[in-house]
Amino acid sequence: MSGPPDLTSRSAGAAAGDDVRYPSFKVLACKVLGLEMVVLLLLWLLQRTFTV
Amino acid sequence: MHWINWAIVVGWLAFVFVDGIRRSRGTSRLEGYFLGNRSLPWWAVGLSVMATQLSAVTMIGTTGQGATDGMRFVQFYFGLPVAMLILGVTIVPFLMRAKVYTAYEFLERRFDAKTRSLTAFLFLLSRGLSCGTIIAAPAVVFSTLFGWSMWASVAFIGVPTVIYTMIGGVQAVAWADVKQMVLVVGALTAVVVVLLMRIPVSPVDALRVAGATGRLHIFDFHFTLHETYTFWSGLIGGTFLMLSYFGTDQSQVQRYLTAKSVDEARSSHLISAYWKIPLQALVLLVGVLVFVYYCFVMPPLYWNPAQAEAVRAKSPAAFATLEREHAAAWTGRSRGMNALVASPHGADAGALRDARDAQRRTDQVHADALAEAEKATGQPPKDVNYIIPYFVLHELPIGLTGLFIAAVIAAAMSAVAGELASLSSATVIDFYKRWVRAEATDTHYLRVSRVATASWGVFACIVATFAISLGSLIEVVNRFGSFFYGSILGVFFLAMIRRASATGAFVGLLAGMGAVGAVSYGAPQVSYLWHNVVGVVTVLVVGLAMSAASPAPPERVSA
Repeated sequence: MSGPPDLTSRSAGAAAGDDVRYPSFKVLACKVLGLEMVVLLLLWLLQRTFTV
Repeated sequence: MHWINWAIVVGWLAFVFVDGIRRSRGTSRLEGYFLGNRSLPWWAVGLSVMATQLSAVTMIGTTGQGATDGMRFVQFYFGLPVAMLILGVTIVPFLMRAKVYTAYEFLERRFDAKTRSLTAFLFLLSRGLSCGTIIAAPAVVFSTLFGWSMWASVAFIGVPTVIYTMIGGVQAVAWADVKQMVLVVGALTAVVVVLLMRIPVSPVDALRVAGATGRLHIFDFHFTLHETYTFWSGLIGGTFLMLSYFGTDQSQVQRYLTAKSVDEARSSHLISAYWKIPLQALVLLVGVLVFVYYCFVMPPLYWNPAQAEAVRAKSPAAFATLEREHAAAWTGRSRGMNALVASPHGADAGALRDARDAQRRTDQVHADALAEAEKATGQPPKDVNYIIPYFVLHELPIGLTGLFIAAVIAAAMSAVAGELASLSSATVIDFYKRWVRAEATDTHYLRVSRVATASWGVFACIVATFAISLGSLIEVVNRFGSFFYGSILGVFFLAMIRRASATGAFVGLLAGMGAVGAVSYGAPQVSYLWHNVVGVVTVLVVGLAMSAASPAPPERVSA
């Protein structure tokens, strides 16, 4: 079972009274790069499948 | 165009205009006008950032590029997610915590007034002219297709945009952008659905046709400095270009300065990181599918009706010959593509060879036709920008045509509005407030800001109207712009290095621009994507060397 998401409380730059909790930047970075890899893989599969 | 389509276009324009003016509430102070009181939610800021980049050129030119050149242009954006992550831990927190109005204001706090003024001046010069070209691109197409004068086309796009930006400020711009993004993505998706329904072969066979003609050749792993659209140029050169654009260009910086906090500013940036490549792939896919559609349905000899008229009037015999050759080439191509999709798995070697030969013949006839058009008009032909408009006006159902035209206008408006707001903020904050009148009431600055927005709007409309005759001048300015983009990024990186001095930053900036200029003229075959890398590296090396040779800087900014 996975643990709780990696969240930080408000960072130094968060607005006063803003109770929104943001994922840490490391988590966001992993998500962004992971999604980019998936998109590039899909585009590569599209090319590989249909370009003869 | 059918009146229902016009009703949709005019209705959308009226909606954006009225809503933009309604958003002027809360902009009675300068911070409200330029930064939306630093209170916009991250998703609105993120969509606004994407809308500002997505201009009418994307809707018309990039889709046309997909039809003629395939999807390889998407490689240009491979560096964008990486750039957004780097900015999230570097420039974004610095600028947000400095509570500045413009990116260049930060440079005076960290270095000195001359570095700030030079960077702000370079921004005004390049953006002021590029704002005109953003209006000009769709205006030229509309004037050709609808028979309007260039003035009328420019006014149709420019006047409502200038008015709602002038009155509502960045808040009106950002909320209009959100609506424009929804419309643009909706229209593109609807066109893809219609295309898949109307292409007379299955979607898989349509992709086989696209693949056989090279339209789905996306990746080029060849490493060369001379090609713009390769994997490495996009990933490395693209990262530096996107860092410069999103990190130091006021048209982008102003967007995330409207966010509530550093975290919200970062999150807004990540929307582009997540969605820019898929969106760009969708834009190009529209073009690819339009190409496939016209493999089975006879296209015109010229997509641009003005070119067809010019050739027909100047040399009717040549026009008739070209039309005959065009019809024969298309018939051969249609036969070749039908044979290809009928072959087992669309991979029969003979059918594939025949299809490619037929495509080459079609390309040759089209090249001959364009050469004839150039002789007739005396101008380089720009047929590619008319492919999608032709398809939209002739093939889409009533209603969807209006939706797409409204989306093109929406894309132009959101890009122009973003530019105007940023030009106005740099003019007022970096020049008027800094050099002309340092102390005045907010009401006074607000009035000056509105005048500045209107003045830049009028200037952009004039540039757009004369864009064709100003063509070479604009090209020179754009080329000049590529000299300093990377160099300004280098100065911002220097600002984050404690030992960098003001003299080092200024001399580094000049050296960076000089180095890029030398590469641009000395080795013109090097792709402009690499100019930014040259600029950044030169500024950092020269700036740090000069700083080491000059006294340590005073502490100015704690970021």
